[in-house]
Amino acid sequence: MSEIPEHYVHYLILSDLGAGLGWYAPWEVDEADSYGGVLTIPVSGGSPFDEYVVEVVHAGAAREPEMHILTRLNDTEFSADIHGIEINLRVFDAGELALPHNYIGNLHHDDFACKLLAIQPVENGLYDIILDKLRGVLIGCDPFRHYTHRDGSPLSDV
Amino acid sequence: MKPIDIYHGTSLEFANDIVGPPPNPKVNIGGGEFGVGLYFQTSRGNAGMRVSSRYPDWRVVVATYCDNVTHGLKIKQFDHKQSDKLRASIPKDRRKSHRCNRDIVIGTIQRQPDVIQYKFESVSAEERLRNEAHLRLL
Repeated sequence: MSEIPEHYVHYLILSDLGAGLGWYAPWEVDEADSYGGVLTIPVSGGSPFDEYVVEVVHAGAAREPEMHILTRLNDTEFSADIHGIEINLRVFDAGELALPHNYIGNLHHDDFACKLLAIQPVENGLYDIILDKLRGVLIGCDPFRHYTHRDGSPLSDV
Repeated sequence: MKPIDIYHGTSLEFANDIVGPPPNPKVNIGGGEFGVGLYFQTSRGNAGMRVSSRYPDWRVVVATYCDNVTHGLKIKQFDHKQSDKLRASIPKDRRKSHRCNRDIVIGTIQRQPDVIQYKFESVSAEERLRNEAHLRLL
């Protein structure tokens, strides 16, 4: 890897919490509204970028996310190799998740200037496999390290 | 019924409280798409992704869902279409107060028809979780 990609994968929730349909970070919504999150990627004019950073955080350990690269195979499919686990993700075929949406929450990340498009595992149970083998989860972009409030302050100390 | 493991992601503090010893699950604190209750789901990876994006320190709690948990309880199970209908009927401001008047409510997660969620709603369901579900950390 010669260069760190500019853009990240993000784990977000598509919801209509009073401001139309758009993406929110789970951290900023009530616990009762925080179900149904998906991985998303920022897109430009509807087209994906060539590479994204995707981070893994581990359960029961100091929060030190691992950085991996998700590569675009074509306009709908993406792949990564995380410690020998082949990660294959693709865009949704239909429904609200098949369309890019704006982030409409109250946090800041440079990627939130782009529309974001949901992606899903090609193989059923991929996220379970990752948790079993790595004791970690694909968080995309760790909000506690990379997101800020609008005034630039961090979400919390980690 | 063949026993299955179901999963609840939460902060490290709450996870330790739920698991104990003594185990201390609470159905009256949290809420979700089907209203007030303690929620578990069939995907541990899904549970982990959600909770790790909410809490810096997090764990996934495992419960065993089996006959000893469900025996004699009032359980309502919804398919994905019915789950969507139930979701739509509960205003977002009632997600921590709405009751389905069942001990356990089972349905899908919004936009995730392959993932089943289990809402433990009643005190009876809470007792079964505490005494029969072999609560533990993943």
